[in-house]
Amino acid sequence: MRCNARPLGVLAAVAKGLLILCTVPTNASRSSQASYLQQTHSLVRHMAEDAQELFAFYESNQSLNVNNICQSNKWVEWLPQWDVADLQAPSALQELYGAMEHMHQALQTILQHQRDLNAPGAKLLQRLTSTHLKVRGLLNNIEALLRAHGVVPVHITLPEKPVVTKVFQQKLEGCKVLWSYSRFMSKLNADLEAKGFRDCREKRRQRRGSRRGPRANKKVRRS
Amino acid sequence: MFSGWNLVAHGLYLFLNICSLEVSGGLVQSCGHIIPESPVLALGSNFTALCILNESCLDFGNIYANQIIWKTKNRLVPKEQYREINRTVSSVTFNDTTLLATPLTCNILADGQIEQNIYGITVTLGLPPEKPKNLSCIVHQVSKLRYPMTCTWNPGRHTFLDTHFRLKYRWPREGFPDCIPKDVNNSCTITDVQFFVNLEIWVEAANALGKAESDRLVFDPIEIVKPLSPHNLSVNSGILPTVLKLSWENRISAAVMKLKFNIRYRIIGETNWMQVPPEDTASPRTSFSVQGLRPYTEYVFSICCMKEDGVGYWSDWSEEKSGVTTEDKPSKGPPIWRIIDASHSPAFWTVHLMWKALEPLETNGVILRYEVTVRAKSPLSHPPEKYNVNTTSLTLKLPNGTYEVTVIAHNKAGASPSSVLLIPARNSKAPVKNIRTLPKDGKLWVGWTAPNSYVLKYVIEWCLVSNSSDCVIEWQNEPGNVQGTYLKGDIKPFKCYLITVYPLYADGQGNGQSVKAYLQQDRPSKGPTVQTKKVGKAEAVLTWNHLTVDEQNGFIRSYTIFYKTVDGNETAVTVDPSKTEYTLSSLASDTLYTVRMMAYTDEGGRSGPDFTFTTQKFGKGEIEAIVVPVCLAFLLIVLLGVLFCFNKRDLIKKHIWPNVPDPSKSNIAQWSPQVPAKHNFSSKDQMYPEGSFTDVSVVEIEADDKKSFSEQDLKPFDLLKKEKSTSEGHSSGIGGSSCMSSPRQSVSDSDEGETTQNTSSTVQYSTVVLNGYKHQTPSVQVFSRSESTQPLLDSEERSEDHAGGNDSTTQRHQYFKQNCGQDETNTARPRFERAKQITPANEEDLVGFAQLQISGQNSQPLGLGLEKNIEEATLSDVIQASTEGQTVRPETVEENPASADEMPKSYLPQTVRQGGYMPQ
Repeated sequence: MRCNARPLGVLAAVAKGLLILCTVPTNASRSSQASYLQQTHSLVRHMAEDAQELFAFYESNQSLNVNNICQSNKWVEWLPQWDVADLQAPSALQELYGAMEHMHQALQTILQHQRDLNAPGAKLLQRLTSTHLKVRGLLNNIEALLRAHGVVPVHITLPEKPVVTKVFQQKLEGCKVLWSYSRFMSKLNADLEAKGFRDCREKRRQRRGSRRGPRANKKVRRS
Repeated sequence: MFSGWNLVAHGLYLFLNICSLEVSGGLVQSCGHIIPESPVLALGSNFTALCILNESCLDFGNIYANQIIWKTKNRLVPKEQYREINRTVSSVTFNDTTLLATPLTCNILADGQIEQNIYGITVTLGLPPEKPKNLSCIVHQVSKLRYPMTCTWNPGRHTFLDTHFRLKYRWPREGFPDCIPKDVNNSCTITDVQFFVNLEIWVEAANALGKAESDRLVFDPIEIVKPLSPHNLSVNSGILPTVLKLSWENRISAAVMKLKFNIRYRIIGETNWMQVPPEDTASPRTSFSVQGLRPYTEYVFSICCMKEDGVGYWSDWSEEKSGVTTEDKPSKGPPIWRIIDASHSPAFWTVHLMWKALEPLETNGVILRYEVTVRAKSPLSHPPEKYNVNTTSLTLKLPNGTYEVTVIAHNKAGASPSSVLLIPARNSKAPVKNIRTLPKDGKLWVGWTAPNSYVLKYVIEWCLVSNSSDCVIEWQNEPGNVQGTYLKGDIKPFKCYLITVYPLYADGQGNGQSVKAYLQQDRPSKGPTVQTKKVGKAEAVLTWNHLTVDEQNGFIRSYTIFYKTVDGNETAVTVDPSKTEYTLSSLASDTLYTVRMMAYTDEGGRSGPDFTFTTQKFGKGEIEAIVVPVCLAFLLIVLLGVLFCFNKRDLIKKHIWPNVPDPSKSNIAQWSPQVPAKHNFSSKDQMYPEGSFTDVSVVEIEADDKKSFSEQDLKPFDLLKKEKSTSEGHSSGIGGSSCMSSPRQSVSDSDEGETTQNTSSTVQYSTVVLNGYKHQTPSVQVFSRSESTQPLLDSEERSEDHAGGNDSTTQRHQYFKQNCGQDETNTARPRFERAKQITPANEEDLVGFAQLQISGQNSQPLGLGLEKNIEEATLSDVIQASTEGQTVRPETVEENPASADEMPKSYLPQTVRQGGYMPQ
């Protein structure tokens, strides 16, 4: 749905990048890519934890922890609910990149709202700032991964959102975003963990296969 | 080049013209200016300044560029550095700005002489910034969510200029505001960093002369984290006595960083830390069980952490927490030893069993009691005796024999293995050999050579040897495979220790071998006090007492005796330390010596007090050699004297005790008239033709003169008194004798007493020797005859001495006073007066007669008796009277030589003529 909304040029660029990434992977790019992957994986894990803490803190701080009012809200539409955990897939990276750009803007909005509600240096502001920094960091890592794949990230144009003037609505909007974000990050982290296990298993299997391979060849030759 | 400058000058000129036009409305208008204005120059670079004159000044004052002079800080710049670009512009060039002083002024000489300042600039010199080096960063975790990052760098040389440093950092797609250091130029702290995103960071230094950047670092901040140490550390004892479980909380999320840990621990009170093997704690955790600990021991724990992969920094050590392990059974039995006292009874021993409290390492808990079992060995057959004691000693009285003593320590967890000590009847096994000591590292090491037999263990026994306290025995056990150990006790320096080593065998004990030792020696605290035992003429025997152990402070290696005379050099003699006596020889006789003595240990000596003595003048036997012969000679002389006296005893006897003739046997009548023929005086016949007259002696005793006689003078009278007492009643007095003797008074000299005595006893003559007084030789000897054998009295003899007195004229007037017929009235008169009364009448007749006058207190009655009662008075009466404390003093015995021949003629006493005493 969202992809359909993107301009064709962007898609072409992503495809071009992916093509380059697939065709000329160098050793340096591989090592830096692995490093970025590892960092991104760690960062996601970190952000998942942070998102949960932030939501809990926000909920209590904003006195919204009654009747699961935040949790009963709808999932924000710009956070994908499907599996984006394949960080080696540029499309998934691009999806994730777009989601984080949305999150970046949403956090800016929440920060703006909360700056009006809290004194400078308030803990909520610190936490929001810290989470915002993490989101920005993830954007950097995804971009780096995309660039490592030879893909120039496509900056999405965020739609204009209606201005919420009511404070409660602001709080509720923030709560909704943060809850969705924490769920998203938790899921992303879980998917990455699972994928990591799978990859690890696959690697082991490949290693075993590579070890058995020569023996099998020998056997074949003997036979 | 020139055209370039020209262009610049023109440009400047135009610019200045414009400016001057702008300020032309002002009161003061400068005639020129310098470009560049206030330049900042690099040290050592070259610099050129231009002074541009205004056109208005050219016209007004005929001022041109060739009149410009340059000055730096009022110092004229050499004209070689000037250059006249045109008539309004002059330049000056400095090849090295190091020498350029500020301000730089452009001046002009008006009329060739008057110097006038046109313009001046301030030149700032400095250096461009160096490239910052050694950039490094560290992320300090300050809370669970805050991770400030501090980066430091080397700012490089001092630039002399205001140089700004900026820490720049950025993500690949996003930059951040620069971190600007506050008050420093070599570090800056970024308040929050994001992990897992690569950060590019570098330092930029900039000043007026340029910019410089450090090398850029790209890193993930998670790699440089110094995390906070774990907190809420707790220590819990486990089921096992050697295990303690630690629990803690990490202050960094596992999602952020997986940690590994380092655990250190130590026994409380000790300083050295032990560490849990790092590989045991290399994985994320919040608890750990430390094993291999000592039972019942308090441990202190601390923990730190870092990123699991070892990238980054270790945290600080956490706060210390302690825990105690649970008790366990004592790991070994207490070391046991004994002191056997067999002095009280030969059949029984008093055995003092003593054991050492186990070390904390060995007790594994609190020792509740000790169980002591004493088993008698054959041939004794007592059942084992058990004692439960809380102390570490037990005294038993046991029959003489062999015993096996076991001691077991009990704590809450159980009993220790038993310690066994065999108490044999005697120590008959082989002893250790070659026992020696060595102070080492402030402790006393004891070594020995093991006996050939297998030794179970050694017991080293020692005690402090002191005069002031008893030898309190301390001891320790050592395993049988060692041949040396340090004494485990409070070994004090300068104190003597007696150390004994006993080898313990499986079946008995060896003899103890002892040695004395000092941990550290010092000089003796005092020197020996020396004194003389015997002093001779050339030698002196010195004695001293050994220093007490407390005074020695070490082993006395030698004594040195120092002795000297008052003015002589000191002589030193070294004496063996075992001696307490030494004989100094070759000393000078009768000389004062000062002697002192030093005792030496290995660390030096100390002198005792000075002692002085004087050698004797004579040697041994010298006095005896002198005295004995002298005494012998004296004795010989005495013996000879005695023998002589013995031989001459009669003579001496007669001299001392003269024979006093019995007056009753005296017979004046028999001899007086019959022997005149024998008289030498021819005139005697003429004097006594009928023989009817006898000589009359007048004895006058004056009581007043008694005092003038000494005791010695009175001695003869005492003798006379004695004689009188024996012959009282029939002894004749002098007066009587005199009256019955011849008219020539017989007075013998004391010197011739013996002769006189002999004469009186054998010859009826007495010789009156008129000795001159004090060598005045009498001119004539007068002899008087007497038949009496009575010796002349000393008083009579001494009368010559008195008579021979000073008055020679008086001596010449000899008186012979005849009592017979003397008038009573004359008796009371003084002698002289009476003599004078006589003298006129009988002056010639009395010449040649000696007058014997006896003075005394009682002389008057005597005199009266003599004068008044001639018939009644006898001679014995007179003698009696004279011996009763009166001094008989022959007053004057004088002979007139001129009248010697005439004496018989002139002698005719008046008393006789007047009918005086007549011999019967």
